[in-house]
Amino acid sequence: MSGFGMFPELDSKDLFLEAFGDLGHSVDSGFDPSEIEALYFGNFTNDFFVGQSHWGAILSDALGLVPAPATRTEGACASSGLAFREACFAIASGFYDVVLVGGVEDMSKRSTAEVSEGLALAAIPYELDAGFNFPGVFGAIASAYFDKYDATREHLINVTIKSHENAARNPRAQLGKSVSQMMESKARRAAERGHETPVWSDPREFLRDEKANPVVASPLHLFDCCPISDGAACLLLVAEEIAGRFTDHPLQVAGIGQGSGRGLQAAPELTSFEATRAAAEEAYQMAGLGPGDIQFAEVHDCFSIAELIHIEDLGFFEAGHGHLATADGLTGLQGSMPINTSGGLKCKGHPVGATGAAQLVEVWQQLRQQAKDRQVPGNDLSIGLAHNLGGTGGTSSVTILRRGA
Amino acid sequence: MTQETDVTSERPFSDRSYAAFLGEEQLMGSRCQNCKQLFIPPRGLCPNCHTGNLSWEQASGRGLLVAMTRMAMVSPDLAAEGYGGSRPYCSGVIQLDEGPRVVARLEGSRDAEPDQDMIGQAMQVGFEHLDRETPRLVFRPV
Repeated sequence: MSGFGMFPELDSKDLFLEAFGDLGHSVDSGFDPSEIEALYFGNFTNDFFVGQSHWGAILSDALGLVPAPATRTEGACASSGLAFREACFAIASGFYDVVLVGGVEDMSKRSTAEVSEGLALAAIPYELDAGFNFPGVFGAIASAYFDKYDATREHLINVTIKSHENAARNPRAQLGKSVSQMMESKARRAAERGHETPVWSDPREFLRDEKANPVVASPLHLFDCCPISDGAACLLLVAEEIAGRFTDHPLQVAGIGQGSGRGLQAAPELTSFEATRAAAEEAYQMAGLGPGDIQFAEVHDCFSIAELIHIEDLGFFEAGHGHLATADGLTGLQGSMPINTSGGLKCKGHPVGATGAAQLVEVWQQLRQQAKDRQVPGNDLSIGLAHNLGGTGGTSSVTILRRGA
Repeated sequence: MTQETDVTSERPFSDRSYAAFLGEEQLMGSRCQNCKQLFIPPRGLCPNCHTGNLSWEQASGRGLLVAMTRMAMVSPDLAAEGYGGSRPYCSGVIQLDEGPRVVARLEGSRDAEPDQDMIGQAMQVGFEHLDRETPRLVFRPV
């Protein structure tokens, strides 16, 4: 994957080439790019933010893959999760043996208001008419979750603190600092500028400070929301019979699933995403596995509340227990079910179309014991899951990867 | 709670018709004549039965608030209306007495802005006529 962050000098082509370069270094036995038979990649906003469509041909050309076919998938923030699934079908059908799959997004050249407007293209039209923006939809979902399960903002703060702790161990994270570190640097900056130095006793008090952590869409505050990011990620997907040519340690795609869902006005529940539940069921069935077999997961935490809902929808915890499990530390790196070891969308960054592919890069690194400081403990690590969500729950994809025998 | 509307309504079950009814201060949906489910906004095809045997029905406009948020970061068009960090606005989800949920702007009571405590409160529909074709759907505490 490329670096994730705000890169004024880099466009989609630059970012994807950077990710492709990184891929080249990570294939153990190397590979010849001319072997790539097709490209599938996800991108959501380039038409709107960059004013350019038809990225298949552009990226195919930049990578030197022409005339190999290139197909762009769009599923809002789940765009590259969809690309991965299509690539799996392409190989499983026997049509291709070597496929490049990835995603890219180039967002930071626009103002926050413009980005918000662009992302809102993925909301349900009725939600937009009612004045909802993306944080607003998730804020409303949080209010329903609080009401139903007696949860509070303190439970969201647990998610934020955990995400930052993991990100501080991830050199690729856009916000690679713990909340304590961010708090200290904020106090230091204030002192340097001769301003009154704020004093917070701990990260919780810092996150409760309305000035340091202002409200975006109640009950969600700034630190409940993922940043605006540029970035790309890609993976090499090959037929099982030839995987040994590329590495002695291949990962298998054990299960894939995809589902659709309705908006706030029509979904069966406000505290669950039907698209996730459908995608997870499909992926578990294909893999012959259940939630209890999954050892760690990357889930689509575009907002802190989303992580709580996803870990319930994916079956890791009972409905209404996600916030309790998080408070008990079960989703931390040392917990029984580590979630978002990368720092998640919240801290690793969320270049929307690249996120699904980047989640799989994290699962891949964990399963190969290459995640260094944030490695999930234990030598028996063999099954990980990635969950990608698009829009306000309109699209979801779930992928289960397994370490080869 | 619900009433049959004027049978002369020949409008198609579309978002455009829904908006036109809102302009006439009517919250209208379509009811499947087969499974009897009511859809607001209206659907022309019942997603349960996959049939188009539906009829218009007016909702009472009363329901309970089930989710809400106050937004301080706003889109450019709402910023142009004067909303933003210093003037947040609220949107929410209302479970109508007839069953369906609708999404709408929220207004508080005379004493209080909408907040989390308002969830579960009875709400009544209103139609805010702005300088545009379709009025804004607003729910206020009863």
